[in-house]
Amino acid sequence: MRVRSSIAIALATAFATAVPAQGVRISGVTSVQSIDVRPLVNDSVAAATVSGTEAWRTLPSGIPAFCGVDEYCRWKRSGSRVNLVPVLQDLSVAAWGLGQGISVQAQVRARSQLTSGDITWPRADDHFDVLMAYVEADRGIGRLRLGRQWTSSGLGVFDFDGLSFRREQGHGMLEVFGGWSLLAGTDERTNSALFGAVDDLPADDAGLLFGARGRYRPTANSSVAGVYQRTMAANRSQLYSERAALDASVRLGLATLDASLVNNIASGEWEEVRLRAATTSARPWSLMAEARRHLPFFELWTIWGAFSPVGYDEARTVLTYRAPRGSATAGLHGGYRKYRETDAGLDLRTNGWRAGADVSWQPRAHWSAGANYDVDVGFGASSSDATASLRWLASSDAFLGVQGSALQNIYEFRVGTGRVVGLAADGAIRLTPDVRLSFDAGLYRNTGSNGLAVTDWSQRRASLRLEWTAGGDPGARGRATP
Amino acid sequence: MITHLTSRVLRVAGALLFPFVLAAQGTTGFPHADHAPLFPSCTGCHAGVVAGDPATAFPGAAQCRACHDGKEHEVVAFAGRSTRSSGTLRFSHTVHIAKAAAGNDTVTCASCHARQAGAAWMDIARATPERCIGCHQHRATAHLADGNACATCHRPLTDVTGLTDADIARLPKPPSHARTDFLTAHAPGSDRASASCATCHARESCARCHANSARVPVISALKSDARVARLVAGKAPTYPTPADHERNGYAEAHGRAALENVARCANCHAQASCQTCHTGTGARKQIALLPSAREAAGRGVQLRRPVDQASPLSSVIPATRTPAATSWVPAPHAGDSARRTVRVHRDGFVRTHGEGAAADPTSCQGCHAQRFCADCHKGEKVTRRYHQANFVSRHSTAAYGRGTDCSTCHSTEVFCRSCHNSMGVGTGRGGIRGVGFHNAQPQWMFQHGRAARQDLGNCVSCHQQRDCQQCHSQLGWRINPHGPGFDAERLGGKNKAMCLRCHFKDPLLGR
Repeated sequence: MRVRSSIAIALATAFATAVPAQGVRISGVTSVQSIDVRPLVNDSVAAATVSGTEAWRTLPSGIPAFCGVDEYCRWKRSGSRVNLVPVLQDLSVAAWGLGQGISVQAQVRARSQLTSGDITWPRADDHFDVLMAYVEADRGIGRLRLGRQWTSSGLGVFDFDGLSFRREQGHGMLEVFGGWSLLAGTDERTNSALFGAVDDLPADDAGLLFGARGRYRPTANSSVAGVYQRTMAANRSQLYSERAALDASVRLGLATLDASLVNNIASGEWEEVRLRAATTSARPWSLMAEARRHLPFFELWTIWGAFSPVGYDEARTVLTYRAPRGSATAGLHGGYRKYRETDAGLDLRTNGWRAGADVSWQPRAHWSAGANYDVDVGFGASSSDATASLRWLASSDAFLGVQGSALQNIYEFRVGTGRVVGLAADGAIRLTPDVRLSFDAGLYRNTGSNGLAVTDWSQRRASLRLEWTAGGDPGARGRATP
Repeated sequence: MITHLTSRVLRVAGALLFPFVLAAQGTTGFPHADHAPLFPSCTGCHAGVVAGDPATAFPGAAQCRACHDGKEHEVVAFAGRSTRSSGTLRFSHTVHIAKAAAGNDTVTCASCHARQAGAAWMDIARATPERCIGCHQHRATAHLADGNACATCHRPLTDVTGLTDADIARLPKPPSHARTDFLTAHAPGSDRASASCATCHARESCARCHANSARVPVISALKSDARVARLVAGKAPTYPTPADHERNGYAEAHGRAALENVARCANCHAQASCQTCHTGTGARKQIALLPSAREAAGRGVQLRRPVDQASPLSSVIPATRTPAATSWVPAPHAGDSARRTVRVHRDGFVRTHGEGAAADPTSCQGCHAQRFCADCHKGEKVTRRYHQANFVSRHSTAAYGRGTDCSTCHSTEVFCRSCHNSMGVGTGRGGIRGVGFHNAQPQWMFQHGRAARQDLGNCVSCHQQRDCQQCHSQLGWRINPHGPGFDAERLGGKNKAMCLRCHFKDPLLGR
């Protein structure tokens, strides 16, 4: 069903494209990766050989193990190395001039994995997707789109198969949209087998999404936008979500203020309240400060919303210095978040903070260097990592770079801690104005932590990407045609 | 009286004849100094200069043969000299002679043609502009000086037909033209200044660079010239970077500048320049005011949309850590003078653009088609624009800390869970009785409730609903997962099916 609908959309788009167009532009990205992974496997030892009587014991090697099920103590460890070679092929098609203001946009993706075995790279077993495919008519009265498309607003990014109409008038804009709702990032309907493969309780029915959003610019320096969106089961027996958002932005002299409000109408809770102030980047020094109250969102066809998730309050700031000609920059950033009361369970960390610094320097036209250090200490996992890199720009069409990195992950809910050092290289060369080849390769070694690394993150990674474009280009490269 | 006047006229005319005399020397050069004892005046040979008659401005061959007859003096090969072009000079000998004759001037032939002050009779050299300025200092402090009214002494180049392409190429370049700010501020501010430009330039001189040459009155006023056209043909245009373009953040501010004075933009930019980035519908009205590709005929600043390799570090380090606002890179095409890569968005924009896009989506659509967004927002990274290398070993912290919202691009319940299951991290179909992941938390079972409420999204990336239902439902141990503020009526009223996933019967019945 899923493949059939994807093929139907692709064929419909292809049919529309078959009408003689003034211009067609096709671009593609072929990506091949080689990645070493070491999946976690279960291991066990006779409980009698491990000292202690508790359910949780520590093995002589220092590894914590669970001994409460049967006569064995069990734990997870990294299994043998497996090499995965996923292949991804993206194709984008834009055809225009099919009639006054009529164009076609499509983006399809094919996936495969060159290696066989039980381990698959995420979604490599899903061989074909139509990410986007719609016919657009842009006339004076407004813009109409029909097909697979997506809308972005203060509520996020939502995919759907359906219809949207947008009209702009003066300083205002209004758009209405509706159709079959698709799972974010998957382009599958809510009740698809894709979700059923990883959860025993998929949605009972596909979702229908409809909504409206508008924007108005009171002045040249301000804008306000609102959106209302409702998703329900196709048989209209259930409401999946009902939300609204209001976003505003105003520029006051050298500062920009942004505000966001998101209300979950279904649950009656405010999901997002955000205020951000930032100085314009026209000065060497720039500062951004943000206060935010966040609550996660779950659609009602899952049970997660009934588990009373709590959110957090967060303050963040970023200070940046940029040399007048941009040859050097430096930045500091930090943030603190505090989780709200959960009324559940024993104590856990209820706050988190992060801080970091980064610099970049371009001493010569063909050389650039950068470094950064970040710490993120929080609930669930913490890490610190540092990176330094050097890049040689052989020309505007080619570069070569090297990067060294070191990171340490400390998991509260861990299978182990990890300290990883890595060395990577990357590069790219434009073979013709429309063909570009790029690569990266890295070697990462898990050096362990406290002499114990249950999860081994040692790996080799490499990727090769070929990007190409064919067909007309309405100004995309800025080359005028006499 | 008549004698005095005649003498004076003769002296003046003689002095003013010298340019022609010098020119008459041709390749052999007439040795004036050798003949000094013979000629008492200039007009003996250059009478036509006084009369304004080019035919008699130079002596003919017969005059030379009067002495160089092969008997008294050797024969010389001289066939006569045609009148030389005076170049762009507007100078008139007859006017000066007339003024001198009327007593209004003291100029003589020697005033301009004597090799130096106090030079001997007939020790002459070609007149130079400095000699003119010697008398006309009120009009110019120096030849080629700033502010000079060139047209006072020079004719427009297009009116001077006697100059060859090479002659034009050798015209002197005023020092002002070499100033670094000259290209950004060379527009003539007056008719007088325009006339000065026309001394050495034709319409093709300006049209070499100006995309809007057909629209600028001062350029249109210049005549076309085939010689200049040949000289500039194939010569790459030069586009300096104006000072305001150098400022940080100009990429963000340029829209306002275009609204205020799009004609200024049109000097260097045709529509194609803008369309390099403005591939969407935004700004199209203002862009339409710029010269079209046909009108600009290939001129105008040529830009290239920056891709990964043009922004240092962007592939190695995420764009949030690519703070360079501008960077110098080699010219993208041979002959291009534009060599600058400009970052349009502020540092860290890739992580903060959501709010801006929500409040003002048209701004995004001005430059980006939706497929551009899809490159990142479609689940898998085809190009490395967002996550840094080896992100897989770092992603747990990012996910827990919510430094980014994974669900913006990934379906956490499909993308994350399928990978976690494959790698042995998730519970798969094994339920919660599998062991291992939370093995550093001996009291995990008593802590997981708090952890779940603080970040249920992370739980969902491994656990499916059945895992929780084993305990938190009427199917299992009937442990209530609802928090104190749980509004059963509200949620139940919206979706009763959600309640019935854990409850055997409607829990709201009877309430």
